[in-house]
Amino acid sequence: MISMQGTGVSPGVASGTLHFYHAANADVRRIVVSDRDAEWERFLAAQAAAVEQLGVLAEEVRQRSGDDAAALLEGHQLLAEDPDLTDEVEALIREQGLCAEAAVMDAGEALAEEFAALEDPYLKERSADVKDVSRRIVSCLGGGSDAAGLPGPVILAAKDLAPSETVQLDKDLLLGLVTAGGSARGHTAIMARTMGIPAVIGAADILDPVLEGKEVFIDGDTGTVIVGPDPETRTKLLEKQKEQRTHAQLLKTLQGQPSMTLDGQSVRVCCNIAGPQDVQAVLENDGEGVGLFRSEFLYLGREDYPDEETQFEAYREVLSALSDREVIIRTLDIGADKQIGYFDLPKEENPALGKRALRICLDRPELFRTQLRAMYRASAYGRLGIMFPMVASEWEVREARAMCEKVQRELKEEGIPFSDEVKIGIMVETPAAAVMSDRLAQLVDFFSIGTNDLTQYTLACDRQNSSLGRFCDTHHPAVLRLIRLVAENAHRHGVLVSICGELAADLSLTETFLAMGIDELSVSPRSVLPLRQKVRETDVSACRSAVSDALA
Amino acid sequence: MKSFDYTINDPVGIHIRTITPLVKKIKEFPGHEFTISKGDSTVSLLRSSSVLRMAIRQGDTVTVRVTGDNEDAAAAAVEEFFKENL
Repeated sequence: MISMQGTGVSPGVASGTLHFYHAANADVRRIVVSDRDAEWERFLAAQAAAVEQLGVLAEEVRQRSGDDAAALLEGHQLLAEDPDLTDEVEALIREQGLCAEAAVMDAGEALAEEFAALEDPYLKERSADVKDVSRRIVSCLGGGSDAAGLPGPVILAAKDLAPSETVQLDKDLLLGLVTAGGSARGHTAIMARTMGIPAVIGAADILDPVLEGKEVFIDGDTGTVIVGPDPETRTKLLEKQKEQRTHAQLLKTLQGQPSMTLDGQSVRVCCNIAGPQDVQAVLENDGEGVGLFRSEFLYLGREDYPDEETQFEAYREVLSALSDREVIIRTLDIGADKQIGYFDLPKEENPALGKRALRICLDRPELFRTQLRAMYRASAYGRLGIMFPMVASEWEVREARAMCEKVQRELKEEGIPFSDEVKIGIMVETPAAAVMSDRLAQLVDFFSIGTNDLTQYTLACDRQNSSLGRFCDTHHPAVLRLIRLVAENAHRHGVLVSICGELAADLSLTETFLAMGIDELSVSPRSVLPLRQKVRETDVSACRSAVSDALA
Repeated sequence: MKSFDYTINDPVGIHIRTITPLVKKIKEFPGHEFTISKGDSTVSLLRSSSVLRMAIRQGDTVTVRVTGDNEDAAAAAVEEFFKENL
């Protein structure tokens, strides 16, 4: 039994087989071979190896999770030996002399396209299975690597995961996540919480090759990772896993209950989401709206900019699914730790302080205009709020609002419907915006405090740097004083104030935020009900003076 | 040659979860040829991705043909499979 200590960043106990993530590598060698018969033999051997691997995996999954879970892998096995794929590979090798790796990739791509072209939504999705299978055969040929495809339900171990890599993972197969590096405020942790998957970061030795394929337990609350547990520990961990599930069930009784304190103060408990795929989680966890829709996830995992239509569809889907609940979409927030290749952003010495978020949008008006058009068009289908990230100055808000007005004029001229009740707000995440919040309040309908960035900029602590530890105190009075200042200025000008950073879900601060009169807390869907429970147990009048003393 | 017609009852039609055991079943009869037809198109039942791409759904009537030394038993076994699973 090997025990490791990391930091738990997404709650719950998960157990399963430890699988190592290898970064995507779509490039395979592409050469013409002289001995075509030998190349064909190489392919047949790799194909047989892939079929065998899948058979072993299917059997493992059957033991653990039953026939249903194993069926997917057996389907992959069938696709790996599919005659259509095999014939195409043979033609490419024998007629064109292509090497086996390139032949498999090309044949797989062609077959995947045929599936993608089908109308039936179920069959369309098989396109991804075909690609996955061809990648597996290629990796059996010793080239490329199996990137996003998981071999079955696993606990995934990685050095760290980029957001674009995380979004590609099959959520149904991801039981838990453990990284050697990473930081609690990084995107891996946020994504894990959004998906409701237990996660531990900073388990430095997790990538030791001897551990791959072993049984592992991770505890997302305590940060403990145990590989190959002894029977006694195993029983204890399974017990804890069961306990947590019961607790989750209990929380469900809070569904439909108001988020109101014992002395009658209401707060709206909303969700942070990354796209239409998270709407279900909002509904299941009874989120009272979406306080932060991170639109950048529409831009990640792609090769080119998403056009107006693509964005419109995604926004519309979310707005109409949540109909009467407000949805606040944040305009593109990339740069710093979220990089996208096709944006061609110059390499910066200090990206957290560089050209990011609204700064990019204001300098590239066409990009900004496309996104705002998609948002306004979607506004006809629900209740929309638009929020600008990384504001430091009043002129930035004025310029962004001018673009909103321009887009509205255009749509009116084109006769395209949109709502005239769209709310405009800003993220307060720079100390400048917090200090200037009295003036900024006169330009907007709402504020949303992004505590992750506000903490990093106020304390001069890089949120990606896990070694900062105690220096990066998220409860630092400087941050809490700024939050209080923003709330006071907002209320003086009749502006609503929300907290959408990770701190919003920190139950040890709920009393503090309620005493400050925060109107809305926006958290990952899984945190909604625990937070509502905390709100309903709080008596604000009893803690108000303690909070003001603490921040005096 | 032995054949039978069958109208699909399964709400999702022939998909990857049903085709896996179906292929296992027909592999019990080596040396036999199995085809499936829907409308004008006919493919070998062993060509699973082609069968999937025929998009056979609930309410579609398909014809299965079997040729081989023991075609009576093979056709009966496959028909039984369709009745039980599709």
